[in-house]
Amino acid sequence: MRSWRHIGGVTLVAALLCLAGATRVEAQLGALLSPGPLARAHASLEGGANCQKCHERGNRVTAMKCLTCHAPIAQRMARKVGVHRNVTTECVTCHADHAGVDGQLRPFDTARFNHAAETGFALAGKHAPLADKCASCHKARSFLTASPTCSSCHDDKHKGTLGPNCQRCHSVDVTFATATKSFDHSLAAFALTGAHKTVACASCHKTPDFKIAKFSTCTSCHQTPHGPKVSPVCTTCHTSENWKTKAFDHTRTAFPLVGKHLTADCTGCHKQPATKVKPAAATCATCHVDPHKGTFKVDCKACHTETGFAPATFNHAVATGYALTERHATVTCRGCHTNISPPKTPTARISLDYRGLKTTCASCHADPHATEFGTTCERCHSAKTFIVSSFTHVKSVQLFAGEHLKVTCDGCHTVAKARTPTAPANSLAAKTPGRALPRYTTTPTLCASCHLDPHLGQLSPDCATCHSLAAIKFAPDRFAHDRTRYPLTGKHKPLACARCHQPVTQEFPGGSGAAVKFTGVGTACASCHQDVHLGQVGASCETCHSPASFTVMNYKHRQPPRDFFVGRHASAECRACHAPATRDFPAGRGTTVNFGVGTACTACHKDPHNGTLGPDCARCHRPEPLISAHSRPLRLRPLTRW
Amino acid sequence: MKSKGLAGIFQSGVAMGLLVSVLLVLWVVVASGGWTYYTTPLAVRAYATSHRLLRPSGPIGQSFGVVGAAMMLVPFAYMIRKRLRRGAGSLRGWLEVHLFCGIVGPVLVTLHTAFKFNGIVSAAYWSMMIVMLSGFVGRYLFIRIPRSLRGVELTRTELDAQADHLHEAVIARAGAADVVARVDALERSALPTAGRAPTWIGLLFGEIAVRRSLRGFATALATSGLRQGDRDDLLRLTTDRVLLLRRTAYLQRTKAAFQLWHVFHLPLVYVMLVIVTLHVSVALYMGYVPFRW
Repeated sequence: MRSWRHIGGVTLVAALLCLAGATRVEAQLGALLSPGPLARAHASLEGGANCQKCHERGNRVTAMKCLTCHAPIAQRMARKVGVHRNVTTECVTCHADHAGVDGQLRPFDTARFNHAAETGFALAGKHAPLADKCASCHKARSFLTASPTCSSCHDDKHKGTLGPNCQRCHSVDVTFATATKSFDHSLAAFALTGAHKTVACASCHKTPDFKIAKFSTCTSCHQTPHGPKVSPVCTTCHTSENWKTKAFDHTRTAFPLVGKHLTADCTGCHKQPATKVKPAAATCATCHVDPHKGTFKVDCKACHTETGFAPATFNHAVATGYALTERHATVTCRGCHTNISPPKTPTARISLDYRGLKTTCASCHADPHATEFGTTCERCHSAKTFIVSSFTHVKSVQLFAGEHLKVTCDGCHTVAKARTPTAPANSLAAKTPGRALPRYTTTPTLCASCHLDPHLGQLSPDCATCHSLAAIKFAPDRFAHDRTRYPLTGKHKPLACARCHQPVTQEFPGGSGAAVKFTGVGTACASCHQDVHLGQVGASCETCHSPASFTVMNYKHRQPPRDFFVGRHASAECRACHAPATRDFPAGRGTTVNFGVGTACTACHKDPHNGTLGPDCARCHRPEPLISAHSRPLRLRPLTRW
Repeated sequence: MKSKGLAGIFQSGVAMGLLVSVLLVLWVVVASGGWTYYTTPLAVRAYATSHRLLRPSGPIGQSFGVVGAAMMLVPFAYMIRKRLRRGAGSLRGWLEVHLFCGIVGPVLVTLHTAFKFNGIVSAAYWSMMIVMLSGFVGRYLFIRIPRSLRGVELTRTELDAQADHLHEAVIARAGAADVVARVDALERSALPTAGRAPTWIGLLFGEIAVRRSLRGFATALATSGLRQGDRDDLLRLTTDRVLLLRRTAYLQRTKAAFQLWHVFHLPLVYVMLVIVTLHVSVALYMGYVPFRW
């Protein structure tokens, strides 16, 4: 096996040496020893024969070797100009190679490079974003070949017609596309105002040299739509802002425009051509139609203003003597004034007659109580709402407390005997169906008149023995179990009633049906509890258990064999011996904790010796941990280490 | 190792090696800006802040290379000590030093490369990595040959006596029959199927399943009703017995595997030695002298 190792090693080394010697040794060694391919610019220096063109034996890479090739840099360094003017360290401090074909040879930090100071050409305005995109302008690898004239990078769109001085119109602060916006037109003979500022240059300037022959009047560029009768001096009515601007001042006429008239279209009143119209402005009817058909003889201004037809400034209290308060204030005129004549033509307004209504409630509202309370509605209702919010019962005051306070009127006053409401003919109420209401004055006051007996007669008819108006959800707050034959103690005390008193369906004093059984529940344990021991320990539960807990706290075996409850037996838990078993018990077959356990060792323990040492375990064992009589084992290195 | 605690770590070459390696890598990656440096693309890495220190020829990078290479020579010293069969230090101590250097050395050399693998020297690097990884396999096999505390391999008779003793101790503590049955089932599942030869797969990976079964057994014990102290004893004894039986069953295969392993572990070491010698010679020739920056 050992000889294999040496044979393997020697073979591998020999194979590698053969590989190295198979081709030209020098080139092969160079490629094998190179710490990585050279950058693209140095590609010609690749290969083992070239190592010493940059590396100096025993002296790493020296600046002298670099500058032999990079002569222009050497010259600039000698003249103390350019970015290398103050360099004193070796070139490799900043320029590292052998980082792959794409390796960076020039560590150029564009953020720190001051283009203005180093080159005399500041990268300002729109040139600024190019500060880290050197190749946008510097197309050759050497940075020293670029010229600072505009045309060295940009095309002349004007084909030379505007001369070589681009800065006259263009600045570096705006793009070429928006250069026209930065041009100061006030320098020209025609200053741009109003809408002229937003017009595209090419709309007026049709030639590349930007010259326009004639521009003294508006009609040099614009055509008039008004014909020969209107003055050719456009500025009489128009400004340079836009054509829609109306310079006409209506306050100089007999009808100054205010309110809604200000927003009306000219042609709404001036039906004829604008230059001829002078409508009569004396009355509203000149332009508006009267929807009241002359039922009001006064001037429209008595109710309406120029701010709009609605809302009108009509004062109902002053004009009619009936003030509109609360909910009445929000009702529309047509809510009460229903005398509407339909329009005669589809485009005509509705004709309204507001006269003829009385001020009694019944002239508009139906009586849902069918005269049970007479006509004095305001005893219970107000103009605020129909809902009766604070009616006080004067009879049986004791009933209106506790949970009853939450009951709505409908809870007791049911609609079993509802009546048809009455409403005056032609009133608003008569046209809409009314709500049926019960009788309020004949409702009885006994509990049973509203509530059903859920106990079906098992208990006293006097509900107040157990229940009060103050208790929520009929909780029997006046009931105490101590009043019964079985006062509750220990764990029985916090139990919910339903744990013992459960719903049953049977014959009750109040009739046959389903109800919680309150009478006839026994006081023996078995009435509620099942015997989980299946009859093994009799019916006297209290021998071991108490109402305080089912857990057997301190049971003592009555006749233990001598020396049995010692050692580990003394501290063993009950279940260690009394395990659940499935077999026939006094109360029948089933699974429960087995109390009939013998005291023989084999009752609980399995014989690991498979009977070879006989049945008498006590010959060797006691109820204590087994101690081996064998000698100590060997100590090993840990087996569990990975 | 677990029972020996902190002291165990200092005595274990593997644990110490891994610990030192982790601390070393953390120091370079976190404290010395290594993360930024190593994740910078190769093309522009020369201009990263930490390049001056961490590049292969820099103060830290080159020191790592020199120290790493020196540490890789220590295993040779172990080899010589093993062949001489006498000399300074115990063989076991030498083995732990060998393991320590065999782990820390490659980590140092990896940091020296700055994760740039070019030229023939990368062949030496990958040879070293294969040797290191195979070292872990070797140690795995070595541990699986039961030895006394003094490091002497146990004879067949001793192995059987030990297993018998552990069986008695387990039965004494198991108590209930169902626990004993569980231990029996555990032992059966840990051993190769009766009548079949132990497999390579079983040798290299089977113990993972056995350890899982032991954890399951520990969980089951928790509800067995035994006292905490008895449970701990029983679990420890059962673990020892199950692992001992298993290793006895696999012993012949383990020894065969360990012999074969040497064939893989050693030859690449010579390849590495030749190339590194060449690499160091060229570096010195070009002026990259250690500790002179």
